[in-house]
Amino acid sequence: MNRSLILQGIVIVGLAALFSFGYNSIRRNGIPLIPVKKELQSAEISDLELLIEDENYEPIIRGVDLHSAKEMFDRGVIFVDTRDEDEYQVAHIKGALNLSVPELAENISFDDPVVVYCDGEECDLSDQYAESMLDFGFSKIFIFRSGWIKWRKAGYPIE
Amino acid sequence: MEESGLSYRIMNKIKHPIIILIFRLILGFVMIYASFDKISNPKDFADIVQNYHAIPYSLTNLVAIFLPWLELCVGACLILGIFVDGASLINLVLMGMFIILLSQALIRGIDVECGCFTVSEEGSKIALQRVMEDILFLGMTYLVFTRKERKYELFTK
Repeated sequence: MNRSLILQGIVIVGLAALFSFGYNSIRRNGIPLIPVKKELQSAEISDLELLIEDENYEPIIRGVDLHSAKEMFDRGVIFVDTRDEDEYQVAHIKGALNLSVPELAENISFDDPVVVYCDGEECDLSDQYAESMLDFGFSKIFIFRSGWIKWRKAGYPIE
Repeated sequence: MEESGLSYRIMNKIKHPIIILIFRLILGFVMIYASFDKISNPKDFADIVQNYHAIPYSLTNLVAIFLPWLELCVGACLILGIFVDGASLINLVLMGMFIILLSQALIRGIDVECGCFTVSEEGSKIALQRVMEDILFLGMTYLVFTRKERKYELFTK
C-alpha cells in the first residue's frame, strides 16, 4: 500500500466525518452521538388497576419496574418477549409470547394491556416494538426495561 | 498456462478504461442513492444498525451518522474521478463489511429491515439477493481498484 493511497483514504474519511457530524449538529432532526433511551412515564402499582381497567385510556407507552411487572404478571397481563426467537426458545418469562406486532394484533384486542421486555439495558428491541404497537393501534403498552435480566435475578417464574 | 493466459487477456479486456469508467459511474450512483434515505432519516437508520446486533449499542448512533456520508463521499469521488484509489479501497472495505453483516444476519435469522437502499417500512427484508448484489459490486470495485490506466480521472495522486 503506497502513501498516496492511505492519504486519499484519510482525506475521504475525514471529509465524511466533517460533513456528517457537522450536519448532524446543525440539522433539526439530528440524533445524539450516544443513544439515549426515552424517559418513560412510570406506572405505579397503585395505578395499575385503573390503567388496566380504564376504557378511555389515552394510548401511551409507560415503563414498569420489576415489582409492577410482577404485579401485572400475577393479574394475568400478557407479556411479549421481543428478543430473537432463539433466545426465546431457550427460556422466557412464563407464558410470554414471541410474536411480531401484526401477529399479536390477530391474537389479542387493542385494549388489552401488554408488557414488552427484552434483555439488558443495551437492548432497544422492546422500545422499538412498543413504538410499532402504538402505531398499530394498541393503547395499553408497558415497557419492562432490562426485563429478562431483572426477572431472572428475582427468581420469578420462567419456562 | 494457456488458461491463465486466456483469463489474463479477458481481465485486460474488462479493465478497458471505458468499462472501468462505467463501473465507477454505476458504483458511484449506487452509493449515493443508498446514502440519501439514510441521511434524511438518521433515527430510522440508527434503529436498523442496532437491529444487526453487530456493534455495541452505544456506538450505533455514531455509525448511523457517519456511514451514509462516507458512502456519499465515496460515491462522489468515484463519479467525479477524484481519489479513485482511496475511494475504491474504502468501497472494497464497505462492501466486504456489508456482505459479512448481511450474511451473519441471514444465517442467524435476525429479522431486520435491510436498510441497504431505504429505511421505510417497505424496505426489503434481508435477502440472499442483497448479498448477491453486494458481491457483484465488490467485484466491480475490485476491478476499479486494480485498473491499469488512470483515464477520465481528475486527481489521481
